Amino acid sequence: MGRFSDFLIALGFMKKKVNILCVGLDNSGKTTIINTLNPNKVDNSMIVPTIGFSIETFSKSKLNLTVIDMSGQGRYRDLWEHYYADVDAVIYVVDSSDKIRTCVAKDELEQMLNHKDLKKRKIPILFFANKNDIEDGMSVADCSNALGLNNVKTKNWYICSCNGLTGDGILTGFNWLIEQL
Amino acid sequence: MNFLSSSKIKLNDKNAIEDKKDITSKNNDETTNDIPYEKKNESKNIDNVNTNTNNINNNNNNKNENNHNIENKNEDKKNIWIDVVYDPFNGIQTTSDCIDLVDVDGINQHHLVIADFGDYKNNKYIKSGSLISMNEDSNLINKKYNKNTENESSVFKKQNEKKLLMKNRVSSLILNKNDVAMNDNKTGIPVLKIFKDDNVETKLDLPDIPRAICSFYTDSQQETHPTIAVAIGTTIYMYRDRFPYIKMTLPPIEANPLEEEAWKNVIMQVNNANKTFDRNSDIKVSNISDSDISLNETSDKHKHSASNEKLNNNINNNNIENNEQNDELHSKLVTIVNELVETLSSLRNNGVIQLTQISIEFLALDDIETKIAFIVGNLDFTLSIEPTITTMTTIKKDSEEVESISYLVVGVNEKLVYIVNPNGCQVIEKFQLSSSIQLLSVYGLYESKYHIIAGCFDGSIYYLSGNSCYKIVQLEFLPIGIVTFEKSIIIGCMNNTLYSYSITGKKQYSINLPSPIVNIQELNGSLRKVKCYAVSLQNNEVRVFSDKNLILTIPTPDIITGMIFGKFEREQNSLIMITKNGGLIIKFLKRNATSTFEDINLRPPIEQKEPINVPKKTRLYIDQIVREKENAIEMHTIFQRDLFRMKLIAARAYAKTFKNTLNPISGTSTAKIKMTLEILGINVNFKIRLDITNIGNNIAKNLFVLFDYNNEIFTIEKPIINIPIILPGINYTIDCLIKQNTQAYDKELNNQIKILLCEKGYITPIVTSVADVGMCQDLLEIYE
Repeated sequence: MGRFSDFLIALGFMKKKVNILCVGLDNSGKTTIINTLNPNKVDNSMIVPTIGFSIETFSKSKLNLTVIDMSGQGRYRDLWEHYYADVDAVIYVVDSSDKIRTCVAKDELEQMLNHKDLKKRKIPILFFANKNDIEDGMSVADCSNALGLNNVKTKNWYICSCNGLTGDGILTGFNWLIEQL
Repeated sequence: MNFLSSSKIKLNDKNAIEDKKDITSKNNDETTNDIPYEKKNESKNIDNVNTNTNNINNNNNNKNENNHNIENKNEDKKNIWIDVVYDPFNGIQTTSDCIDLVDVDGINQHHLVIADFGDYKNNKYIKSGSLISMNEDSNLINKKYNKNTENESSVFKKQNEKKLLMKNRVSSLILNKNDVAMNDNKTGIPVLKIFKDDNVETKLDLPDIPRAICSFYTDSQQETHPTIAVAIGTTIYMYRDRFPYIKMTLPPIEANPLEEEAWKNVIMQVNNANKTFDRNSDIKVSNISDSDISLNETSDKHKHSASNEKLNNNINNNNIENNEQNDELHSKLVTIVNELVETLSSLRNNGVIQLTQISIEFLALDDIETKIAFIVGNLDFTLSIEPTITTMTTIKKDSEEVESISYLVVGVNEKLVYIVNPNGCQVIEKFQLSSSIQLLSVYGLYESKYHIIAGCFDGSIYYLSGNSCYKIVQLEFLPIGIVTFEKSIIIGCMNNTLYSYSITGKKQYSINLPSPIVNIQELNGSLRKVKCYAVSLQNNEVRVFSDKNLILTIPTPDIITGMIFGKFEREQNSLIMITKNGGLIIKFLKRNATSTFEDINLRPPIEQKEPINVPKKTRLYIDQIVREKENAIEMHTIFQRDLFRMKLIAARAYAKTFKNTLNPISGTSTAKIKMTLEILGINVNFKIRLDITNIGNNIAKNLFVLFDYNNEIFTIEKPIINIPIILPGINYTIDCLIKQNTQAYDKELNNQIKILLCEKGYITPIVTSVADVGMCQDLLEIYE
């Protein structure tokens, strides 16, 4: 972006472009959350597992968002690291009802944070503890402990519980992310 | 009859009291035992956590530095697992055969399904092996059906039809939802556990200790739920949607004709005897049979016989006039039973014929009274062997896909292997082998190409296929586990060794392991490229092999008795292990570890890549090479000349030893004698010990030992020792004392002693040896 476009953004004539990477294990609800955020899409009932990735663009407040919705399936997780280099924020979705796989989520998070493209950069990470409607799921504090978020000191992060289907809690988290950008 | 009922109640009371005692004592045991265990395991847990964090750190370092050293790779290998669950007190007792990962609800979430043996070591509810207990569950089911029939008469007809079905080849019985769950409120009984994550979600009681479980799909329609088959004793229970569904028994095997005839004869004779005596005796007989049935339930044979006699007395009192008749009948029965016992035991002792369960139980009964009661009470039974299932697996019908139709492969104690279609409950194929089946392993698809490898109790391994059935190998040690691949088999044996054979029976290799093998399990799942198998050992580790390469070792906190690898919940590559003390361990394979897993097979071993530490070429080394190149012929001739010289010297020395008979073994034709000597002591007084052995076959006579020495230095008590006879093979030890003369030290004298073993009448000695003694001069000087 040139100086001219910066000037336009400052004046409010043009919106800033932001790339957001949305990752998380399979069946954690990444696509559902993004669809809830996306004003263009309404139907949230029929969602199939994402294959590879899908890109959604929409504008929110003063930002032009490009959300890269990655597939969480084991064989597609290798793709995540290719987007680390040119990303401005990360959304990490955790299924709070899937207790047994939190350790996998933790492992993936550590791998991501230690990746050479992300390690030196100070980008915000938003954690969604999804599916808070399920009764015996973990609380936000449990999720944060299980993921070892207290050890993440080099990056700004925020965790909030949400429900992808109803959209409950998603906006609180997302407003935090927009503030950071 | 009053007396009987009262005695029964008493017995029951006693049982009840014992129950209570047992429960309380068990509770006490548990509470006392638990505390130290917990502490231990806590510390273990902490250790685990520590190692885990270390591993993660290692991982980070690796990535930072991008080092590709071999050491780091090895560390990578260690932490390819994510530790998910370690619960040391899950209380599961099971083996690999009784674990499976099943998509129970058909929602692509594979739950862990375990057939738990329960507290089988000291559980009084389980009476396995007894005929009575085996029939018990079917009786109970029938009773429940009878209850149902009170409500609906049409069901009764259906049940009769089912009974008819049971007499046909493979019998199957459609079960109600609550049928098999009859061990109400009992603890420590065998249970089928269906997990959700690491918690038991559904518990289904099993009637007896399970032998094997497996899951399969019966039809190829979409969104069907899999069936779980549990093999218990002689029956296979099938569950679907967490409820019992079908009970199936294999076709009964006909008993040996000799045995059958013996029983037929006896039944005929007993019937004849009954006919010849009139109704009074009939009353007696019916009474006995009644008591027999009622007392079978309490299963107390001693009291049984005692009460029997009392009952007889009762009847005798009532019918004094019939006494004589009764006695006559009784004596007749005694002779009949004795004959039967004789024939049956002779059949059993031959060892060729396998007796039916009825005959075995009959022979095991204590005294003749109970035996008579057994026969009289069971005049109408069909003599046949119900095959006892020892192992069970599945074979896919025509497609490798997970949700394709499968058949059951069942190995039984009666030397048969069946392939059963569980959908219609038909036996498709049957193989007769030479021994009881212990292990089964399957490869391939039934419709196209398949083979079944069967391991028997006598250590023989069979290859079974559509049109061939032959013995691959007869092992010297008994097999523990078999894993089959397309062209090879891996067999773990009781001598801590893994053997690999080709399917044609050629031995390929064997791997020695440091500790006894407990279990072998194939690792399939998503690792399609590699054929891996895990071997759990007694020294608390699990080793993963691919072909003959050791890929990794997994240290475990306890001995692993059961393990399975595959899709668990939504995670593709997970390893679930059950420890000997009932612990549950779940590990996930890391995502990026699969690639390191897979290329192990393709690349050469790591040692081959490691460069050898070769020093740099020095100036001297290069000069030497040049010189060698220029004067090659000259150098060769010099070397040859020197070599010949050395050979000549060696030959001369050899000839000399022969001449002087210095060789410790004599070469003369008369006697072959070996003499070795040993010098004991460091002081002025020595002892020479001679060991003389006759290594020939003949007796050596008239020998003597002669000491040749300088008598200025030494004094020897007996310079000549006579040996009159030496027997072959016996070791003779002769001690000889020597004293040194200290005055003679200054003189330069020969201080050797020659020992000659000679035979009278011959010039040359048989054996000569030389002893160097007398080097204590220096020692003496120091002390003086």
